[in-house]
Amino acid sequence: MSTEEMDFEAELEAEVSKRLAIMQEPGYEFPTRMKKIDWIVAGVIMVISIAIVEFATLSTGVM
Amino acid sequence: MGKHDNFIRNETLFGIVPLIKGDRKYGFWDCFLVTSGFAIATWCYEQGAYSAGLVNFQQLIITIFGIGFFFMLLEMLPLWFSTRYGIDLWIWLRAALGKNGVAVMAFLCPVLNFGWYAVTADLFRDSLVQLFGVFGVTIPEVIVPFLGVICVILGVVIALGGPDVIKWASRIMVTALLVVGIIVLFICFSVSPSDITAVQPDLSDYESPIQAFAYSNEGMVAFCFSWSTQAYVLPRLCNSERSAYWSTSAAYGLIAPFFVFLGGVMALAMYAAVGEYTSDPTVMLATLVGPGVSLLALIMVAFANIGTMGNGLYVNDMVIKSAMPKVSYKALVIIMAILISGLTIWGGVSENFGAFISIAAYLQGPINGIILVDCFILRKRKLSLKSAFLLPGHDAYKYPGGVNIIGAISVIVGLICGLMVYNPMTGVIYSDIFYVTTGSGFTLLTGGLCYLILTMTPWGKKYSLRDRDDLEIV
Repeated sequence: MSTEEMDFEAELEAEVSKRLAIMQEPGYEFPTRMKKIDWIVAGVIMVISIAIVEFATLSTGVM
Repeated sequence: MGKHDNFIRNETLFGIVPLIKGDRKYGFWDCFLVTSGFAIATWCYEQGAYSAGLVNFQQLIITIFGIGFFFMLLEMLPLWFSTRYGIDLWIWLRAALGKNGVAVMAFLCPVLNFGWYAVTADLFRDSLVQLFGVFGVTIPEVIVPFLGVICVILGVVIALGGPDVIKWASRIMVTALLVVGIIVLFICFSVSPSDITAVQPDLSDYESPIQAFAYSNEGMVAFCFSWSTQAYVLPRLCNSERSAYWSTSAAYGLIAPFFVFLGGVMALAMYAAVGEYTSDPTVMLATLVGPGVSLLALIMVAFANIGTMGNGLYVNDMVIKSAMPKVSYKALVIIMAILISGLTIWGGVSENFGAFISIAAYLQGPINGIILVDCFILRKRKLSLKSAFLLPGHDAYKYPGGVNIIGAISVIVGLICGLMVYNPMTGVIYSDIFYVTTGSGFTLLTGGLCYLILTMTPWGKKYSLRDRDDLEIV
């Protein structure tokens, strides 16, 4: 492994450790979570979308 | 180390490290606009024209938006971790595939995606041919296949040009794409809607209408999968999981399909206007608008394709480099450029468009299934970040040979199951399951299911879920 590669790996590990330590601090502010309504809306749109596609497939088959 | 080398080094470094609070600068609109700019490539028109050749107008709307909404919303569900922990997909996948497994997949997925960039080079070549045609010049047949290589070379210049060149190429590309979009929109409104909706596809090459509709669905699923492995980069910068999810889903699931739809309508308008069907958007632009607008549109298409090529080489090579930091960025760009040049000189990608996009999707499908199962069912939205970054003393994701054998088997099982219902290389359908799930969709289902079953066995739990007592950051 070249010196440059070792430098990069060391720099990477140091930077990752530093950032994870910050994330582990008490009171660290994570981004706000998805709300229940987001999951529900996404689920409803997915169900309606795939139902329309499958219905169109069946209709095409009947035709 | 030069300015450019520093840039690549920093991009690689910051492409891998977890982004933290101070790095999160994007709200919904920032992420939506930047992602939309990336999503509306010229191949959207090719995709739309491909679907328009298979289905009628009503089916076109259903196949594009129905599939687009469903699969993009589904694929983007795990996006929350990208925002919460500031990490890319490939970091989480170290748990499911292992370090070396990720390196292999992070190499293969962008490489297979380069079929799309061969389409870009083909469109550039066609726009040049049409441009010369506007001036009455016919380019000799022998030279035509090599014109696409010009686009690849200019793309390489952008990708190797450093941050300023990439920034300016992006601006020109997005502007050019928007101008082309406006021209296409104008074309769509210039032809009578009843003429467009009345067009029926010529299905003489297909056994039944349902077969053609299923091919169109397969193409759209493959289109959706093509974004999945590179969609987790920008949401790392978002300030909330909600803005990340909805902005990315809207860009890939609504805006990109809208441009696909425009491509489809343009193909139908072409048929309605001149009674001739073609899937080449440059021929349509040259035919459907007056000489002045046509000239502008073709120049814009040429610029947009060069910008897309440059950005594509940059983004995809950065994905590979984030999984294999030791590989030279310049070498990667040049290797990929040679690959794309070979594909465009061969000229078979656009001719076998459906097959090409499905081949790439057959690899991305199982990965999508695995990440959904791993994230929501098995690890219950909790990852050992220290193990994922392979920090000393945190070995939960260190597997023999660097490969999670369960993840590897699941990818192979998904791939084989997909091939058992539909072979994208020959276009042969082997099972009626294809009509319900499509081939690519079946790879997601079976890959994910296989991963779930194997990991839930007592051996699988011991092997793959060793991280449950190493969850320090949740």
